[in-house]
Amino acid sequence: MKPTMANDKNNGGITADALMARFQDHIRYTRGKHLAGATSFDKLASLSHAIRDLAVERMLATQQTYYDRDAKRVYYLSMEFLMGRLLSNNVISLGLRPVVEEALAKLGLDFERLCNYEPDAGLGNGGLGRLAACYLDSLATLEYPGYGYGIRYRHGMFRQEFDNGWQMERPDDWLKFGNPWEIIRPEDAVPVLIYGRIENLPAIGGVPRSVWVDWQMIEGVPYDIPIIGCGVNTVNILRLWNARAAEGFRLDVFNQGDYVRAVQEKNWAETISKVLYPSENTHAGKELRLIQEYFLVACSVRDAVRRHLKKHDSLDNFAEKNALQLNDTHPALAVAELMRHLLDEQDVPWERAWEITVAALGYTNHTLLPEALEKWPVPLMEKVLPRHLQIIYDINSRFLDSVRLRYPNDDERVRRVSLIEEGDTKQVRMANLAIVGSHAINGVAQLHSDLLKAHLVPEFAQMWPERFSNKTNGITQRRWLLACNPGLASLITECIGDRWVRDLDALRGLEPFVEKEEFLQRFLGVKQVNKQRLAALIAERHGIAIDPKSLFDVHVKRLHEYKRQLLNALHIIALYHRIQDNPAGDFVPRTFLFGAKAAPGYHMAKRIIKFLNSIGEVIARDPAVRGRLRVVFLPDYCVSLAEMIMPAADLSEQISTAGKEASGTGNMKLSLNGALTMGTWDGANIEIAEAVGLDNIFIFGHRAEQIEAMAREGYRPQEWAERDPELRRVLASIRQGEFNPGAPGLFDDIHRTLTEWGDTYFHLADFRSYADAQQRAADLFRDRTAWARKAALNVARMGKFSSDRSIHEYAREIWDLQPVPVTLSTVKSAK
Amino acid sequence: MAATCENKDGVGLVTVTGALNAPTVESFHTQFGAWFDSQSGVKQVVVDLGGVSFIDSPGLGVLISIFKRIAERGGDMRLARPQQTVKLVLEITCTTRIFQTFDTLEDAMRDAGA
Repeated sequence: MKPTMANDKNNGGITADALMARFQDHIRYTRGKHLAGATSFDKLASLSHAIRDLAVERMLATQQTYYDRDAKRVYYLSMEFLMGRLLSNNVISLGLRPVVEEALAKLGLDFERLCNYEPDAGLGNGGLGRLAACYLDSLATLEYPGYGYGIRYRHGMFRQEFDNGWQMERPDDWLKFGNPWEIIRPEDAVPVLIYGRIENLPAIGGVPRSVWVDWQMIEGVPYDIPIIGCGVNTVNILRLWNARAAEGFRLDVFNQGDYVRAVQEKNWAETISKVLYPSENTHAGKELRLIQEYFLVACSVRDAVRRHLKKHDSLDNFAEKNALQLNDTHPALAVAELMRHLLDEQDVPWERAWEITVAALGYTNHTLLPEALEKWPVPLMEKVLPRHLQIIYDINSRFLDSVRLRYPNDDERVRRVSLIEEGDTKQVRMANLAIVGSHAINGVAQLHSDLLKAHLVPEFAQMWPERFSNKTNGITQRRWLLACNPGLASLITECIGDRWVRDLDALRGLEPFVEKEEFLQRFLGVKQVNKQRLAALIAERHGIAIDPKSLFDVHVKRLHEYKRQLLNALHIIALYHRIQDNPAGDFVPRTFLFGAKAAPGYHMAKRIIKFLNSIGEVIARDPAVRGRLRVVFLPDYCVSLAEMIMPAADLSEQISTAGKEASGTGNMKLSLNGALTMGTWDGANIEIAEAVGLDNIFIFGHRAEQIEAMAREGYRPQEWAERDPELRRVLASIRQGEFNPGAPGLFDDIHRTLTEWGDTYFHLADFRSYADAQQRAADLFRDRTAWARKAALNVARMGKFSSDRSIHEYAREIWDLQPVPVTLSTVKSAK
Repeated sequence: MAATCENKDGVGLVTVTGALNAPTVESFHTQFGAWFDSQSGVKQVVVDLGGVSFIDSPGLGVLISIFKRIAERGGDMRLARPQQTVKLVLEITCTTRIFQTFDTLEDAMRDAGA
């Protein structure tokens, strides 16, 4: 089934023949081949170029409109943009899907097959990066003047492979064949200075003067990717910065025969945009990461300033015309960089510079884990960014003076809010810098925002309550339903029309349909097709047969202990024991599907992956459970794989320790695609439960305040095990090596972390509640109609979780941003 | 890199072209030093950067170094016509706060008293 939508008629009037001609032109003139000799990538690239051509007209018109109307712009600064594949979504956004399919069919080509050759743009790690990508989609679709700024990593998130069940990291070579979507802008390259020192020179006229010397210069070269609004003329830009040496090749050194040194500087500069997340286990890796963060900030701030000065004489009204949103603390150096710009380059007095900076910046916090809050050692900051450290000290000095004035004799408060953490090695607290330097600070789900204020940074929330707000995350329904689940998209559109594509609240119109048996059967039919599609993919890629009739229990997200993949494992083992004990029992057949990458240096997370793979192997070998239980860990979880998994899921595992997950967005994607949530009272699960109704979700486990109380009063995990024979047996089986035959002790650390080492994430405390909720889910799954009704109600009530709603809130409450529609006449005049 | 140094009505005019970078700074420094020593009456110097396509940290360092020599003599140094990327580097490093920078050579020379 193909998704249909109103903007199929609003595609600029291009015909299949015209598109076919463009496609063939690109095969010939861009790829330099005959169609007969073209590879699959040649065809993919040529089609992408043909589509990009159509978007470029609108992109030019969009930029012209913003300039002519002197529109306020938002710049979304993020170290990650997990874009995934672009072709399919861009075709849909331009309303060209039927035209493209017709054009390709005339040449004997299949659109979907071609789409599958596109590598994922995996420039991100998890939710934060995918959120940035969803927000760009919504900004363009809602016609907001928005730009993404990120880094064009040569190698994105690593490619995950398994070797005997262990995660192995391989380089992601997504640019190997080039990227047809990007437009390089060498003319807009910007210089970035790092290292060196501040030298004080003799005062002139009594004024002390200092200069930044002994620096090294690199250049940021922008690569623009069009972000196409769906069903509108707006095409915004994602600008990714590529690092290169300012003076690439030392011919003088080369001519002296020193070929290595001749390219040394060039190679070093290029390292900066080489890899997403260089290992922070080494000093060099840490330093590189800091340089990456500054590189993004320096290039982006300069670019925003340049664009502003094209229309205005000074930066005095910069904040009225520009909003910079910091996606987590990674770009928090923007506070110091914008100040440096204003002070050093524009001669703006300190007080005014500070007003402009704070008014322009907003900061989104993404974590409640204190240990995840970014800090940089002062000596490293001084080495890499000597001028910025001066500015940070100046900001801190003025800020702490104001704190002392407001809270006299409260040294403890001063210590906690300081931008500098004292200790053997002083550290710059990036969250504090971002908070002090922003007029708006937000969490990403209501509970998260509440805990942020109450526990993580309470002193700041007391000082500036008006700066803090909540902006619950969202997902774009264009990718996470319309494109990835064409069957369900068509069914919905058939029932209620296609308004939901640009207004997800319209899904409410589905509610009357959930009372109709015929609708529910068709709903189940779509799900079954999606499950078969995923099963076929798993069979093709991994040679593993899974039963599409079984309950697909899906746990896909980053691997982190707080997300509790281990709790899922404990339940699987319990289920395995139950089936072993009662071979004739009537068990709902289940397929547990995992997808997760562990940070390369996170050893426990990697051991948990091995553990899950080992459980899967043991269960697969056991004939007693065949046809009832299967555990499959899919390697290399990424956006395109998620687009196959989400539509096929029955049950969505969102089982983090309450109070630990900021929001989650996988929970939204799965629910929107008709999976029921198995979740704790955490992150956005709470708001999902409120939206879909407690009857239509499986909530279990201790709540955040209970977890906190247990932690405070002394949590003793062994007591929970002693009270629960089934849990005791599960733990015993781990200790006794049931899942590591031939490798004694392999999972001892997992057993110890759950028992002797305090069970930091409260797996044992939540086990019984979880297992019981799982039983309720299994019981419900037997009643297909009842299950379908609840799942369809989940879909119908997911309107709130569109990234369109989130972006409207940011625009209205933080950025003071208005939509700026681009008219067709502007598109035509731009031609 | 090529440089010429001349006395224009008592004002030193130093014209630099090409890349002012690590491989070229030493010869420039030597050339300027010899010329400056021979011009004991020159206190005001204008450096015309219109032909400088690239400057790196040693390149900026040599400008600061010759400025110090001029300052020791009680004089001052001005910069003229930096290209966009060079101008950016001067701004980022706060060098423009030390040297007055002019968009035209005429303005710089006039300000220097030529």
